[in-house]
Amino acid sequence: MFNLTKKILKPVSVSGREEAVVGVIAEEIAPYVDSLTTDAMGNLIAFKAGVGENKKKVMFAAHIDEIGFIVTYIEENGYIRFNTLGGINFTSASFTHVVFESGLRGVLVPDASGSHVVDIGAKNRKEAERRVKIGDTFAVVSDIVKLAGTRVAGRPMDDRIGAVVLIEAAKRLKGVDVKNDIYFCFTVQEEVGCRGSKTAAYAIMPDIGIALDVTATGDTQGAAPMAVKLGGGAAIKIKDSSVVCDRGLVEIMKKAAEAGKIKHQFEILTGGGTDTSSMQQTGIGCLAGCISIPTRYIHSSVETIDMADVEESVKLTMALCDVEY
Amino acid sequence: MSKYENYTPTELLRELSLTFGPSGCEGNVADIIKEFVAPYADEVTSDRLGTVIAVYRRSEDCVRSADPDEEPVTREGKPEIDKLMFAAHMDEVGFMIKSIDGDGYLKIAALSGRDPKTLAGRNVTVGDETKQYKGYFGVKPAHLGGSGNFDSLYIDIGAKNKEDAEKMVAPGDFGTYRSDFVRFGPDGAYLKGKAIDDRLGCTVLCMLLKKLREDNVKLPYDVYFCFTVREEIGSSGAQTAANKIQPDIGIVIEATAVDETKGKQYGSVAKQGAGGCISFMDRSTIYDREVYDFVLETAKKHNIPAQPKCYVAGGNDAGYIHKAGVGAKCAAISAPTQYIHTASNVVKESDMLSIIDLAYAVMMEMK
Amino acid sequence: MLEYKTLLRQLCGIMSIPGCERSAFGDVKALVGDRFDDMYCDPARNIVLVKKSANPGAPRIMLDAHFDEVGMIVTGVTDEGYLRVINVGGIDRQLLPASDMWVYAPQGKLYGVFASLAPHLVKPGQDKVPEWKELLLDIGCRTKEEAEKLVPLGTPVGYYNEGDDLPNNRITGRGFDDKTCAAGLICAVDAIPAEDLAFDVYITLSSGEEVGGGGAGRAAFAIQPELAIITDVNFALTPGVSGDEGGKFGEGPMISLSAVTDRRLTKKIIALADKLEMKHKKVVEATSTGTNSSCVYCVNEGIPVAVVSIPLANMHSFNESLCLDDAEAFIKLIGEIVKDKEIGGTN
Repeated sequence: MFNLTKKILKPVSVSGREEAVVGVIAEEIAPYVDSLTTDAMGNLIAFKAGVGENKKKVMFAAHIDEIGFIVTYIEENGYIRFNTLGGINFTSASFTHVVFESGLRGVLVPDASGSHVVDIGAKNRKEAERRVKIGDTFAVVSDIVKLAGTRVAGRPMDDRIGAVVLIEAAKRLKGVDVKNDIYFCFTVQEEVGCRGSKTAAYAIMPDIGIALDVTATGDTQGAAPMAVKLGGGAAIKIKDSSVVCDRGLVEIMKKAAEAGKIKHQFEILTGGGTDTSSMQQTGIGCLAGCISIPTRYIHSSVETIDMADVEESVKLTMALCDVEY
Repeated sequence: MSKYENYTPTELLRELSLTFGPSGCEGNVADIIKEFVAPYADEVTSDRLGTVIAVYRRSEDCVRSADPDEEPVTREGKPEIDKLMFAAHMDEVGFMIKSIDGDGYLKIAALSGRDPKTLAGRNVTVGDETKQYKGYFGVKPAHLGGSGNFDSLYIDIGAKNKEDAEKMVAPGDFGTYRSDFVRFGPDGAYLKGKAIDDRLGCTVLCMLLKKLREDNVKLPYDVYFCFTVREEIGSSGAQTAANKIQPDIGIVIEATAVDETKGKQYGSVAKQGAGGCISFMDRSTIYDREVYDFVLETAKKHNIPAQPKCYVAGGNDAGYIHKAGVGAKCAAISAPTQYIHTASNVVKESDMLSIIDLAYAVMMEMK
Repeated sequence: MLEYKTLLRQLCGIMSIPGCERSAFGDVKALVGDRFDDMYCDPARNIVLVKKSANPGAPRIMLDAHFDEVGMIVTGVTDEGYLRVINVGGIDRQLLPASDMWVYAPQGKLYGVFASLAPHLVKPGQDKVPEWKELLLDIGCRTKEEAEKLVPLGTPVGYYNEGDDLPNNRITGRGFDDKTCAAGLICAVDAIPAEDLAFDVYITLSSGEEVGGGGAGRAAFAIQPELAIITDVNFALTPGVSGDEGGKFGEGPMISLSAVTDRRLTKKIIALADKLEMKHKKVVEATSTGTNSSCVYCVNEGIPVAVVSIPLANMHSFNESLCLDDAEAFIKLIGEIVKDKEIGGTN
């Protein structure tokens, strides 16, 4: 899955400009599902029909937009001014390499007054305008590298690693019958308010809604107390600040993990928000929950995960396709 | 025989914990104690402030002979003693009704230092020795500032208005927390209730007296079991009792504040389950070295859990007893108690039972 | 005839922290299920009770009272065996030290008390209100292993206080927000015979109100009522609450004037109260009533809503307080609303 991870994390696709990564994912997942559709907002929905008598509609949602930046102004001296898309951590983003959708490279640096600018090396505005225009988007560059053991660091794990899980699950289920109708949704604009998942959920009206997203861990230096740790397995969400998961679904997920001998842990996040809330608050409602991939240093350029947790998340996703709800 | 005669220590503690007895209004607690001790004491009196004193007189058979030829009983290491005084206070932390407003809400004044945050929302009892009423502290909504300061506290007793409230209570009436007595923990080892400080001490004293009488113990000294008043506002009751009795040795049985939530570290006072804490010093007393050592050695000799109190803080009746009149040597044996001065004191049952055993053993060793 | 106070105490005895509302369904059904034509728990964890009008073609009315109550869940265990928790719904942390709780552990509920540092042991600067991560719940365990065996992560924790009866029909207890109105709606509708109902009545005991999850919006989407009455508790007039914001105990229900609610519907309800010579308090809550009205009124093409409340003191604490006379008046008013053919419509 490491190569798949590198492939899915590579495209620059910030909130509102997800076309590039949607293209890559669509190509990757097409052979494993019955149909692919996109909606007006740009969500990609991959459908696999179920065979169970009392089949339910199960929607999995992994957001494919990443936090990033959008060009708002080009200075006389060729420096680029921008707005953020999503929650940027400037401690991490300062003095980094950035890459535009077009592939153009620049560096993001602080300016004199406490704000930040991007230097693309242009001598003046005219030269800059040949390469960049207002409304262009860009993101911090990151290599995906292996650390010790099965740990991997890079960005944007949030939430491309969720997309990796869904693609891998679909792949392993190719040719396998599952009880329920499965909607693998690659949602847009989560980082700016879980926007894409709202329309995706409305179109599907799922019975069960399960997000795949990252969650923090309690095992870093000076971390606030939190039960989730890297290597502890797929995290089953109980609550974050946008949603209290359906307890009945949490139990179902727990039992599925135990039955499948899938390594798992439980997650309560005091901050954070996920697509789970969108699915819970659409239509007549649904049982909503989330499989979280433990991730250190979320929203930095060095998001760090354990591929073993990703593997368990794939297994849990697959198991949840086949539960008799 | 009283209706409490077959009560276990915990059952008696429960009865006392649930009784209304703030500083200055201890009568209801005194009544229960007087009923309990009556069958076992040689004499039960009260002093002018309301302290209850139950005496267990020395036995004639134990009076030391005045004959110079008789082999003197070796009392090396044992304190000289003619009168032993135990003290435990009957009063609990409470407050007083200061005024009644037009809507029938009660404003209060604290009887001892209190953080207003610990009162907001609490169930309370208000009244006096003859009648009590249920009520509760109001909570100011958080979005309007919350209940952080004393002046914003008020008690609601369900009165329609001032006139209605005045049919029930008056300024100068007393108030305490109202809190269930609960046994909890995996083995039911812990007890929670209000006023464990110091109804626990009262329970220990009652049980000691009962045991002396039931075992028909013969002592060469008089024992005065003093259930004092007004300790929480400055130990006036202990002072007058000590003035009256002039004991040689005073042993205070108390509850002492501990914090177990962070594990053992410097300043963690004592450990629940390790028995009574024996104090060497607190803010009002430097305890007699000889008595302190004697109590700890007695514990060791009889295999009774006990521990030194590893922190200098607080004060108790000993502060007055050791300085009363010509003075007395004092010791304090305290039950390590969490969340003191709140509605939910928590103590480990075994510590109360160890303290009863230890105090009894000390009396035997001093024969 | 259902007795309001008894039903209220019974409902308050059922744990229903957000997320866990579905587990309450069986208990509520056992209490009142046989008094309604239908009763179910929908996908959004709303408990819905249906009583149909005997008059054919009656439109639908939704009467909402949220059934979730504020509480906490266990987030971890310290090395010393104490539990750490986080709130689910708004809780004033300063009220917690030394307060009694129930821990709803898998094998049955356990008693717990929040630790409180004695004044003698407080070091300077330590006197502030503790953070959630500093609050420690004592369940009598003194090792991590002992506690972990009994209490898994995510275990719900709720208030222990059972409450009292006070003079002048005043009572205290926990969970009155919003079981006060839940019990009131059930009693109100139960008392009206089907022949007299102008609507098919859907009582939604909704989920997730305390955490902004708005199960009521999902119920409205499914039921598609002609109009909805949102019922919740509001601030009683107590020391510190201003005369404009609070309702005095014993002076009846509170009716909200707001830009979110439907003014025409609200005026009709006020007219009903006047007809009954029922004392009531009108409160201005311009943009937000802090109730389920905000998630119901925008569903589909919009639903006219009105907000009717019962005054409550000590909201969200372990010791809430109300006047039964206000609840009785509320029941009467709701009863009149569901009989009134003219209360819907656009005239």
